[in-house]
Order: sequence, then structure tokens, then C-alpha cells
Amino acid sequence: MLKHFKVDPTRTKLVVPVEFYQMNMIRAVEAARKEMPDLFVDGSDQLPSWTKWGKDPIKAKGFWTRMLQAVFLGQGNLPELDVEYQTQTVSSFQVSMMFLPGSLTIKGDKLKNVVTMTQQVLKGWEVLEISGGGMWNGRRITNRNAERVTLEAIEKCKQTDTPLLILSRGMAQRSYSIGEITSLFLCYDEGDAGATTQKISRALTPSKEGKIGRIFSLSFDPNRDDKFDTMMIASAQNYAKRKDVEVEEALRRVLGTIDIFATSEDGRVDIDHDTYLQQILDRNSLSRMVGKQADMDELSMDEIAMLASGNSDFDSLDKTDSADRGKTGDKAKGKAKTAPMSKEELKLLDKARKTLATIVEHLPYLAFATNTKTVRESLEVCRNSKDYNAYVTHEFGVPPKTILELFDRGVLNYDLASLQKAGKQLNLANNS
Amino acid sequence: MNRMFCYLWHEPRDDNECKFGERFVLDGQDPMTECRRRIRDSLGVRKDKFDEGSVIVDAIWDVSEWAEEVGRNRQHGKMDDYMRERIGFRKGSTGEIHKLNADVMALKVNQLLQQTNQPLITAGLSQWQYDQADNVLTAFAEGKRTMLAELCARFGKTIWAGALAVEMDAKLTIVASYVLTSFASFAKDLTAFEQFRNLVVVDSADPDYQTQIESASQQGKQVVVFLSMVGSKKRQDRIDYLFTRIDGCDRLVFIDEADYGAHTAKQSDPFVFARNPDDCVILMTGTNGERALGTWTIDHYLGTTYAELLMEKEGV
Repeated sequence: MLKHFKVDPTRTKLVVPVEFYQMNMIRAVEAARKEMPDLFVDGSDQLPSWTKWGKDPIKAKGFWTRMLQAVFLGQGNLPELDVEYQTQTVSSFQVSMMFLPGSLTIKGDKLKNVVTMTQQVLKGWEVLEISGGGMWNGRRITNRNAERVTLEAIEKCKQTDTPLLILSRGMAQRSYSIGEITSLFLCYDEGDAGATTQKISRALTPSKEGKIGRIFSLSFDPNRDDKFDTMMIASAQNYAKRKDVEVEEALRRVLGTIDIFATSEDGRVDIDHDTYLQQILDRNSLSRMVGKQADMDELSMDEIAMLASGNSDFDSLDKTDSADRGKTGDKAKGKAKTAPMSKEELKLLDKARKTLATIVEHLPYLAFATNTKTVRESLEVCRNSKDYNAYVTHEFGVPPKTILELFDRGVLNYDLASLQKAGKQLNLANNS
Repeated sequence: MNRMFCYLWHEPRDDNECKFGERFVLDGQDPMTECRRRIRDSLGVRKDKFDEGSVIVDAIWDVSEWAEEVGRNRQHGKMDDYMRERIGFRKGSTGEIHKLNADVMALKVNQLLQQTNQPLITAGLSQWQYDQADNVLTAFAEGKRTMLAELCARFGKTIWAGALAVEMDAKLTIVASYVLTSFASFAKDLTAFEQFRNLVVVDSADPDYQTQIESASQQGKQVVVFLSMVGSKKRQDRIDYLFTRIDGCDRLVFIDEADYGAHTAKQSDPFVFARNPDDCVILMTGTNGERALGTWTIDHYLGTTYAELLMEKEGV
């Protein structure tokens, strides 16, 4: 209870609503490949990616041109990429920002070439390069002046009703608050979840009443595009904890507040809770989070080694010697950290994390086999049954008692296991 | 009652100049609307600048009580000129333009008002700021001393940090950051509200920062020190002074943008070694909580995502 401050309910008004869009660019690639069949082909690897694009953007000019024409001008018969069609909004003056892949280096003028190609396509637009190689009115752009330069560019564009597109490959992802940015495009493959959140936040600075921040993930394979997942799952976890509800229900409420759309030729399609849950399972976002959130500090080096090797003789281990290494979110050890891990130890740690993720991935089947409602109940049934106990120990590499212990010690996150089960249950129901 | 308001605005194309003026607001009129109308009118034939958002209104202050005291709470009372004289940096001898960045000017006005009997605006917290402040206070009471606060964009970290300094009655609050944050912008927020009246904000980059701290402490003020984490001999000297030479107080330490630069051993180790066991350290970050830990060992975690802000707005 605070003594000097009260809650001001009007403060929430400043929070800008956000919409996420998953855009599928595969038809733009196919169209470009008609003229250049080896586009994005690297040996036997034919999958298109932003990384490949960034390595040789001039070669992929056909794709880039088609994509820009479709996204900003609604041309090329690619309505799934047409922002105005998908959002059902038309505006003459607008400020958009695009984050490009890291492979698009400033050295060798790759980024500069992309800026030039963009200017060639988007006639009547101002294109502002926010990077170490960018210039504005004779000044080199830096992190320090990026915000000011952008405000100046906006002021100039406003006077002539000229739309502005800001291009960056990483600069201005923090401490860059421009209220006029309403559309933000993520043009890179897998990225660090934290960096993606920072980039998304650039469209969330409040400005005029009624602003909606629209985030577009331009993806070559939306089924594998997990850019929004970490934020959504973390929100559900926090909400579940704060409101004391099941994490699945929390995710339902999160998705009820934030819209995620898949774009299609017939317009945007709202991704509902059940579909989203299945999608995050299909692209292994939950498993990755299980591995990432696993509190390895709680494990001794012996335990880590055992998990890494899938050895089930867990009970004989000394668990008192906590690893005291690695990082985690919410546990305290109160001990000084030791020297950095060796390469071998890091490899073991990585393997152990993967084992933990695999365990959580397969736990839902135990609940189905034992006909129990929760993961915990199923593990308890298995622990008390000789046959199940042997089965789990054999299949998972660790006995059910240990898995329960891993949850209790906070090594494994129970919320994520519950979400995994809910998703698998949906899959089964849909397939039966 | 008719009231005297002062306002401050600038144009983004020139952020080293700003305009400070006054508006006498009659009973029943809305001060915000009236001040904005006055600013727009003052632009003459370039009102379009105001309409298209090229004029940034930085702050509006109610200065009625002070104006009353000095006999200027009236139409054309020239309270703005009265305050201007005490601030300086005037462009020319008669104009209303100041050769100052608007954040710096706002800070100077705040500091001027703090010295008077003029009540300042009362800060209200958003629900998420309140909840997470309460969370920290509870954890602190339970003996937790090193916390990771993963707080999303638009959370309002500066006001939140100030609220904690007030609630914890911290005699010395250190806000350390590796990112080039504007001290003026940060200090402006921490001087604008009534609850922060007893806070004195000091930039450790100032040559006389030690004198400023000691003088404020002697007056019974709570001191908030802004400290750059960018490595240098000066940084170590400042750390030594703040953590060892100021005795007899438990510190409240915020590491801002803890996942960016501040997480490397080079930047975090000097703080890890300098902190006293009873100092409360809060690592603040918007993202990458695990990275933000750096070489710190935490005993409490709290987090708010942007989705939660929206859910609060929607009443979910």
C-alpha cells in the first residue's frame, strides 16, 4: 500500500492499441522467381529468407520492387500484402518504419542500394535512412540525433503531405519516440525476442487520439514466424500470476485484447485463441520458451550432465551443489557468481535445456494416457504406478518424481507445460 | 476563481529555443484549452504549424498562488516575465523566447516553483505503476534487496522510480544508465509533481555535484543522482563517492536499460562490488531480462508487458 500516491485511471488513455499482422510474401517470391528462377537459391536450399535477400539485394530487386508496390501502393495483384486493403484504412500522410535484416550491411553499400531502390519504387514518398551511413541535410545520422532528424523529416513531409518511410537495420530501436509512426514492418527472419519487442515499441508512442499501432511481420513462412509469440506468452504468464487464473485462460484474455491477423487475398483473418495456441505449438515457440526459461541455476552440474545425457539415475545425484551459473528470471540464490562456463559446460547446459523442453513437449501425452486433467495429476499417477513409473523413466530419461521435483524447484515452468497440454488437447480434438 | 497559467512550447526543428508565456484563465474556462488557444493565436499567419502538430507543447503550469502572492494574478499580470527574470537565458532583452532546450527550461521552471508555496500537480500513478511499486515495497519489507524489473515501453519508469524513492524515503537514490539518456528530460519529470517536492535531482557529470549533494542532504532533502555507466576513471570516482563516502544511508539504486551495455561485466561489476548489502538495487529493463542480470544475483522479479497495459485499459 502506497502512502503518497493514488491510482489515476485516466493514465490508461495514453496506451496505444496495437494490431499484429502476419503477412505471407510467398506469392511475391513466386512472381519474382518467374523471371529469376534461382532467386533465394543457395545450393540445395531453396527456401527464401530475409538473410539471403540482405546478402544480395540488387539481385532480388524484382522481389523488393513487387513487395513495396504491393504493400504501399496496392499494385501487382497481391492483396494479401496491401496494407490499406488489409487494414481498411486510407491515409495520404503517413509515417511507416521498416526494420531490415542485419545481413544488409552498411559496408559495401547494400543498405544504401536498398534505399535507392526504394526511392525508385515509391515515387512521391520520402525515404529516410536511419543508419550510420545515412545523411540528413548534410549531417551524418547517429543514435544521438536519430530522433531529432526524424522529427525534422516529418515536419518537412507534413507541409507537402508526403508519406514518409523510415528504413533501419537496427538503429533507433530504443530511446526513439516518434508518435507519428503508425505502421511498423519487421523484415527479418528469426530475431532476438527482446530486440523485436524494442522494435515493435517504436509504433506505440502516443500521439493523436485514436492512434492504432500496426505491426506487420513480412514473412516468407508465417507458419514458422514466431516474432509475436514471446510477448504474447509472457503476457499470459504475468496475467495468470497477477489475476490468479489458469495460463490458458490468461492467453485467451490476452488474445481478446490484442488482435493478431493473418492477411489473405480476401482480407485479414482474425487469429482466435485456439488457432493461435495450435500455431505456437506447431512452430515450437512454447518449447523454445521452456528451454529458455528453465532455471538452470537450480541444478547442480551433475544434474545438468545427467539431463544432458538422458540418464535416468537421478536419485543418486548430489543436488546440493547448485550450478551457480547461467541466468534466469525470478529466483534468488544469494551466492556470488562463479567464473564463466567452459565451452563443454555450455554445451552440456544447452543439451540439458533441450532435454527439459522435450520432456515438457511430451508431458501432455501422459495426461491423455492416465486420463487426468492436469499435468501434475498425471505425473502423480505415474509416480504411484509401477508400470507408468518405469515407462516414464524409460521414455523421458527421468522418473516422474524427478519431473515433479523440477516443477517444484522452479527449474521447469508449470504454466508453459499447461499451455502445451491445452494446445495438444486442441490438436487431438481437431484431428479426431 | 480566475487563475494564472504559464506554458512552454518549442518547434522540433530548433530544440535549443523555446517560448515561455502566460495565460490568465477566467473562472469556468478550461486552462488546457485556453493555453493551447493562446499558443495557436501567437503563431499569427502560421497557425497551420500548430494544427499539423509541428509545435510541441512541453508543459503548462498553474502559478496562481505565487502570482497572487506577488500581486500578478490578473489579466496582463506579466507573471511570465516575473519568472523569466529568475530563469535567465532570454533571447534578446524583451522577447519571450529562451535560448534553452525545452526540457532544460521546464526543469528550471519546476525548480523555481519548488522554492515557492505554489502547489505543484499531484502525480497519479497508473494501475500497473501502483501495483509494481507495491510489489517492490512488499519485497523490500521481506528483505529482498536485488530486483529485476522487466517493464515494457510506455510503463512510465521515471515517475515510477521517483514514486519508489518517495515511498521508501530513500535519502540517496542513484539512477545509473549506460544509454545516452537526457538528464534534463529525466530531471524534468522528477521535479514536476507535488510528491517530489522534497527531491533534489543532481547530475553527477556536473563538476560540483558533490557540493550539490551535500548541500541538499544538509537541508533534509532526498537526493536523486543521475550517473552515467559509460566506463571511465571519472565513473569509478563517482561510484566511490556515492557508495562509500556518503555514509549512514541505505541507497536505492536503479540500473536503467539494464540489458543494454549495462549488463556487461565491465559496466556492472563496479556497481556489484560497490553496493552495500542493505542498498536496494533495481535492474530496470524493457526487454531481455536474462541478459539484464549481467553479473548481478537477484532475489526478486517483477514484470509488466505491453499487453497487460492494454488489458488494464480495456478493463480485462
